[in-house]
Amino acid sequence: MSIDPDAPAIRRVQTAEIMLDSLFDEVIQLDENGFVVTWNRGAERLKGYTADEAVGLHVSAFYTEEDVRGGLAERELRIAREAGKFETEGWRRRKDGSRLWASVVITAMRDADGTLLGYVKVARDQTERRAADELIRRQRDEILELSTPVIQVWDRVLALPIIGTLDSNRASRLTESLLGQIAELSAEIVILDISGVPTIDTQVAQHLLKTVQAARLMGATSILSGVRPETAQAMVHLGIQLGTLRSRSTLRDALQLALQMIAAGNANANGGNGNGTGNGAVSGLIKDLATP
Amino acid sequence: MTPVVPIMRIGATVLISLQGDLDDATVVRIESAIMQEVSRTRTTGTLIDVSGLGMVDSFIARVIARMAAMTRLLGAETVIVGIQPAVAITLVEMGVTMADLNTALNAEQGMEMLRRLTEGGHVEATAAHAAG
Repeated sequence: MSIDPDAPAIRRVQTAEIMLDSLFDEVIQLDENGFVVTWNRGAERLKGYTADEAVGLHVSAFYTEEDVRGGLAERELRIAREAGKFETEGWRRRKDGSRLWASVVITAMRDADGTLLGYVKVARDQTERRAADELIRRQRDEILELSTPVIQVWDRVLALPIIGTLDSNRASRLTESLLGQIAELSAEIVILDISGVPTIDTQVAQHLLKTVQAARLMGATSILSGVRPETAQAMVHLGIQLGTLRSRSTLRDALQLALQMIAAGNANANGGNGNGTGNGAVSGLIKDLATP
Repeated sequence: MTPVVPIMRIGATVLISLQGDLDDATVVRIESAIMQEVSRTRTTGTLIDVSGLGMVDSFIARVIARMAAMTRLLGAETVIVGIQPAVAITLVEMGVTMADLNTALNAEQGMEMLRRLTEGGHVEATAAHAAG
């Protein structure tokens, strides 16, 4: 649609109205107090009010009850007035009372002298996009949840079988759920089983060490298990240092070590002493054996 | 407002419960109270419970490490107890691992650990400290 610059003003205004009504987005004008002045077809599609019904309503009529109580509409207009423009996303209310998720831009309209004439409000229905986003997020959370189970294998012993690649997102989820379980089950030993992790690179090792350190701050000692021969080789070649973290090749051996430590009543004390922990376990065991 | 220094004695163990938000002046007052208590009586172990702290930042972490170092100089084993999951994660992210400190989940496990550290296992524990 082209606009002839010589066309009479009235024709140009009509064209502008047609243009506004052709939009699927809501484009409406509010007066300086927030009452609806113009209402396009897109707004009708979005909110369910016809122009006749909507003109003269205060903009807060399209907000949810909670937001009306909180004075959100007034706050948004104030920011638009002060900053010139306000962008947001949020729940809005249709005429039938149902909700939609809208992205909204409110712009202050001023004349040449800077006097506030009102506001232009542009809104787009993002309900479906939001639902899709939610679904993706929920499924990702579920996958994360499924992939980071914490199992209580014995009194005060937890096992954490890690399967798949460990990125920082997963690592922090894993650490959180592990620490929660340590607190809940009064765990003293945690077995981190990495037999399901395809490759251990520097970054993955870093994540593991952070988990171990956080667990230790809560008084739990960690044992690494499931280190495959090729993983051990790769780790040493990469110069990955596990510090004082004890390691066993199989979960079975790790569990055995955990039980020995529990039996020796020495799990915590060893974990707490930093270096030289291996000796502590041994002497604890010997002490235990010496006093039947 | 002057917060009371929360020190409790159970046998030869001194339990210090750090509460709320700590500022420099409070920390100094708590430290001297602890030192007097530990040296005045025969204390073999101290438990520092941090579960009541509003937040633990690097300043607080240093304070805790300092208290542990002081009590150790007076001959008492020290165990830090009550670090909450969120706090543990924050500390690790800040690079504070408290690697040379003893930690336990709660006061009960902390007492158990102190018992093991002090009775008979003293030499072993000291050796381990020296190594760390």
